Amino acid sequence: MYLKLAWLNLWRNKRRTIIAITSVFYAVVLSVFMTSLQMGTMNQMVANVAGAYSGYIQVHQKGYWDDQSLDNSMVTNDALANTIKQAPDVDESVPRLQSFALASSGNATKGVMITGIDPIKERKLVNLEPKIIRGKYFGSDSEQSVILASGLADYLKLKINDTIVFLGQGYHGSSAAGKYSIKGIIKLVSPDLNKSMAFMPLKTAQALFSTPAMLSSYAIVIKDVDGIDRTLAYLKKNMDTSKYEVMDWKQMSPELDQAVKGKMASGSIIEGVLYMIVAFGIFGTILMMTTERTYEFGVLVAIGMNRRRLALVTALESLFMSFLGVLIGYVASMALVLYFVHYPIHMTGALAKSYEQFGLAPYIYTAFQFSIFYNQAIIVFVISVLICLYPLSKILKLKPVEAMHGE
Amino acid sequence: MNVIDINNVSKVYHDNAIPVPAVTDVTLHFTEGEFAALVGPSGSGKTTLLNIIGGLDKPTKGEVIIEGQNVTSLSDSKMIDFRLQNIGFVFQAYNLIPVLTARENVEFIMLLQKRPKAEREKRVAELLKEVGLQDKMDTRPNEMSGGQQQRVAVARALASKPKFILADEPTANLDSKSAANLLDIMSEMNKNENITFIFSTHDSRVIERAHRVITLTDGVVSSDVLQK
Ligand SMILES: Nc1ncnc2c1ncn2[C@@H]1O[C@H](COP(=O)(O)OP(=O)(O)OP(=O)(O)O)[C@@H](O)[C@H]1O
Ligand SMILES: [Mg+2]
Repeated sequence: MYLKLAWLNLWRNKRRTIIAITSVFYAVVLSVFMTSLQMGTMNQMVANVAGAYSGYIQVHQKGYWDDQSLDNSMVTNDALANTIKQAPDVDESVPRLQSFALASSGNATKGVMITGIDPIKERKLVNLEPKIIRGKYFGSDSEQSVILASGLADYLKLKINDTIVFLGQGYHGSSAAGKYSIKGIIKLVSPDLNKSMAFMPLKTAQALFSTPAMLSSYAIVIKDVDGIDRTLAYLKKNMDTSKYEVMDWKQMSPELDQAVKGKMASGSIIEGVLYMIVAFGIFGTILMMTTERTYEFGVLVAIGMNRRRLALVTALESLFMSFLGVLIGYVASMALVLYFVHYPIHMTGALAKSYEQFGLAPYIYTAFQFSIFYNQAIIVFVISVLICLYPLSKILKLKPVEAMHGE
Repeated sequence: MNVIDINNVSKVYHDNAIPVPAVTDVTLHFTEGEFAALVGPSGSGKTTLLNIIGGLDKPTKGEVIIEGQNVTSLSDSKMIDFRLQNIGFVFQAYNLIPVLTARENVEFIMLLQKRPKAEREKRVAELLKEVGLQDKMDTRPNEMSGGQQQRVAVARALASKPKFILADEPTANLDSKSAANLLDIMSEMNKNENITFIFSTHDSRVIERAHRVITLTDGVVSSDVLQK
């Protein structure tokens, strides 16, 4: 009965109610869409770094991260590899050996970062093959060849099948030197990386640096990014943490973590403003709805309707109003978000360039996460409850004689 | 036992700190089945007195006793429940909930009383028939004439099975034919259900119909006569 009455009351002034519902609708669509865009961009940023390069979690010899030298690399350890494999949500642990060397060709030289990779396992992380613009991917895990980033290749004026010479320092001060043929050239989105990266098969790299069977890191590919804390906790518990260190992407790239948090915070401010506007809209509507019915409320209290029931009906009216707005807002924003999940916005020009500087593909991605919708529902609910408070407090103090006197 | 005892009731309003005596030392008693008119010029205190009897307003002095219970001392929210169970109201206008039909308006008060569905439906149909609105049951107030709306209001006042009904100028907004018709219905109800009616009015044709006429002058009962 109260539900019915509230519902009927809602439609007394159709236009006004529709305006109020529409304002809720727009706020929901805007803020859901904005949040999705943000989350999408964040996820993409993180995925570009963690999901496509460093891995969300890495395991190293203790002390490696602070001093990333070959001397801090670890011996390949099957027990450790097994522990990692057994951790929840782990898809793959990708072994790598990384160090710096000087690359030369003709009379050009340049410092490069050499990464020794397992050609098969690495497909799950820095998947080089699709990035190849010239040449081919590694055929075995010990061939004497390298894949260069295109910026580096251009700088050294190298083509496929040319020879590159690496000179550097190996394990415990030994010297590292080798000649390799260029098997492929890849294009990396990040301009910095594109100028400095060289990849070779793991065993080839181990031979170059005189570190047979040694690794800089296990980069871990996980299936569920949201479950990263579980994986991390498992590893910390089951590994020998006096010998090894486990780090997630937030520890490895604190600047990325900061960027994500900062963007989220600025997004929340805009969202807050949006919701303020809506709150005032609903507040005005509810206020009008209640003040213009003061006489009627007076009659109702006079004939014996207690104020709490009257307040309930009014509260239901505002809840109906916001939930209608939220409901159709959801339907619309889900459609919108899903559309852009499938067809990300492609950027061009300066904006695209600035994205590329951050190592991002020039697309704006949206994220479809139920947590976004869920959070918005809670926010709108809280707002409508808060908005009710003032008219409700008036109703709870209503005196029929005064109400019917037109005060 | 009397239905209503009004003992030495006074009410003083304060208008910008200036005391305005609205009702002064009124003592009145009503027995079951009375059909009484409260008359007097504008500002003489009719509305104030009815509000005090109905517990919508508290007297500055004196007490109101309904079937032996002193209601002056009841708390605000207890008084609301007391009204729901014991007193029917008809106001001058806009009595009804505009979004509900005649049937729903009458049923509403019984819903507040938590009466069972079967009883509600039966009584609503009976009452609307008695007030001559059996074919307006599913009509909303804005599609009814003023007289029809007031008849629904009377039906609603009766639906809660109150001990008495207070009506403040129920015919003030009606033409003389509708007013006469409403009075017919009220006196019919008064006779059939033996329910006490107290109504205020300016209208001499309405006053004629009352069995008892109480005149207020400047907040004081200046005459109280039985007629017919
Ligand atoms: N809330 C109030 N505040 C101040 N004074 C009031 C208030 N209500 C009524 N009064 C005063 O009390 C007196 C009695 O008013 P009341 O409304 O009871 O008269 P009435 O007989 O019903 O008049 P009418 O025939 O015009 O309805 C008047 O002088 C009025 O101005
Ligand atoms: Mg009056």
